[in-house]
Amino acid sequence: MKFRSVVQSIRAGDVIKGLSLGSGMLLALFAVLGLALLLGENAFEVARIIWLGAWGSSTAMGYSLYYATPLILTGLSVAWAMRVGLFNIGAEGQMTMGGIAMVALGILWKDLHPVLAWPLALLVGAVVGAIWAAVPAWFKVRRGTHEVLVCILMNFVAYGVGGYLILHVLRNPESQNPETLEIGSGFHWPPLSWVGGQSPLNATLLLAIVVIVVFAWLGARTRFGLHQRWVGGASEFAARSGISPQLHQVTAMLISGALAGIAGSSILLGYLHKAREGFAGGAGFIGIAVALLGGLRPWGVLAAAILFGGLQKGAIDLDLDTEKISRDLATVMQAMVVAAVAALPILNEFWSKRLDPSTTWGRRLHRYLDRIRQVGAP
Amino acid sequence: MMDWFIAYVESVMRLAAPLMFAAMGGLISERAGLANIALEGKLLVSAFFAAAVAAWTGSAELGLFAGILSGALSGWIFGASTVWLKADHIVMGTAFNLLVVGVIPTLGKAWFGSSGSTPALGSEARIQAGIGFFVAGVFLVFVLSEALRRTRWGLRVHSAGESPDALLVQGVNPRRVRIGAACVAGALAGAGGVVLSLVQGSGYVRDMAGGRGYLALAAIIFGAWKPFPTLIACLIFAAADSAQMLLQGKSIFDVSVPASLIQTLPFLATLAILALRRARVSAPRAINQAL
Repeated sequence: MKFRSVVQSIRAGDVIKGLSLGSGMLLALFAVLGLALLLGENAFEVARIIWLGAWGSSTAMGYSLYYATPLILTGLSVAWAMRVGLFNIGAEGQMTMGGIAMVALGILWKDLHPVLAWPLALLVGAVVGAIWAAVPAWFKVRRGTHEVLVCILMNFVAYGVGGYLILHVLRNPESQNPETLEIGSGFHWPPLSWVGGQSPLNATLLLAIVVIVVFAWLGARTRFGLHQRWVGGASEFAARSGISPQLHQVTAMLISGALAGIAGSSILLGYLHKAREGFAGGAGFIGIAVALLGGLRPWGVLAAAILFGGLQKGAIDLDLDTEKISRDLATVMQAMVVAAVAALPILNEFWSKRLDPSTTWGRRLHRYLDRIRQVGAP
Repeated sequence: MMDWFIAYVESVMRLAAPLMFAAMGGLISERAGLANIALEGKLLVSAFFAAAVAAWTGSAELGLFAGILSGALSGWIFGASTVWLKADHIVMGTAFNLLVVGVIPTLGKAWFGSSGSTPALGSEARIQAGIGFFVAGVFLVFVLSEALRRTRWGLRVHSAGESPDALLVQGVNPRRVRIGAACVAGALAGAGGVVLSLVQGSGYVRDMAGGRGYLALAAIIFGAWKPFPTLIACLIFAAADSAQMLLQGKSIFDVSVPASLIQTLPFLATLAILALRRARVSAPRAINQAL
């Protein structure tokens, strides 16, 4: 009877919210397919290639989930900070530094047993990511500098320092490619071939899902999570209740950095077993779109990350299967999704006006919802 | 020693030019209350379109025109969508930058068959300006400083950022002021983009702004949203940037400095400078507020 009670609890406001998000996503999709059409490609064909490329076979699905794994963690990272009122656009840099730290540990301590190696690597990645995020947090609290600016600057510092560590300190001298030495086998996470076929999908997907569960609980069921959300949604109220907004902002930024710090684990510990320059590949930035589309909620982030992982995988096929467009179309799609989410207030306004109880459709909607509620009554 | 110093100063002036144009553009829009994190995207858009038009027509003048026009247009798109959709400026700016990162390679592939860059330009399609753009930029700072204080337009921009309601009382629509400021900002950032692709470079290269839009934003914050201090901040960043370029491949005390570490110099300098100062005190009051 769970389902029925969920259906009964739907309010007109939820319908309006859903319509706003749905119409926003549709507009974003139309804009992207319109761009493809404008460049002389068949829009339906493009949509078909992306869809089949993402979910057409079990290997394709495995790749989509593999691409989704870092997005789950960066998405949650951005979402957690944003719920506390901070825009962590530095997840890319935090992911880069955390990832390099994990690989460095794996190289330095090659023969560590998995029982110790797995948690230790994650701990090191999380701590380094958090340290990288501590800089914008300090600037925010002590200097009042907008965290976005400092995060972006820290990203550029991470590219430089990360490149230096990969190319000079940890570099594999025998390899032609700019990559590090291999990590010890104790640090490897096993592949999930029963889901992903030939793809590099690995057990870190399960790790990401566990993290989602933990943070869903932390955000909704604990005092700490509640206080965090107070600081983001009603900072005056929080301050007057004796909760320090600054302390909570710093904590949120550190948590966010720690989550981004372990986001590289699927690429580094699960698949490559070494680090390459630019391994983060924009996952930190796509995490912003994931967080916004997921409504800043852990389960929403999981769904949005899987959607975007599929989009990323499907778009790669555009490079081969179309003449005029490339995988960059996925970035356009992500941008339009962010824009659509940014435009939610106005879409909400639009639908609220259309579905106001004084209008024909609004009356119908309310009558319909009332009927559902009565049918379910004992 | 003297030669070396003159070469260094000239390089600072060259590198400062795009930063100055972007920062002055950003300053106008931020003073009008429109937080402008999209500067990076505007630099990229105008650099790309300037190079594309210059490659097609072989004319540097048309390239310059196209760069500024595309900058103004993208400024309008960003300003209008942000203001009319009542969106958060930072989120919308992020969307704009992402959009640019996706659209430029897509257009590049459709038009030139290369998703990263435009064809290399011959000398006739480039602008041989030396430090001309730097001089123009300094002149712009003077004009802007006066215009913001003494003209009707400047005062309206100021009010749109400080108290939009005061403008409404006067019968001026603050939304229009903001969108207008966004257009001017886009055009100026567009000039900066032209410097990147037609003066310093010979064509568009993937991600060629390399964070200068964000450095410009940092310069505005350090300059407390005032033209002259912002100019100084731009010069400091450019000094760090050209020091970075000079030091690449050189060795200090027999220790060769890796390029990737040296490249972080302008960003570390920016962080150090920002750490010296409290920022929020002087930000426009109504920045990032929907109208």
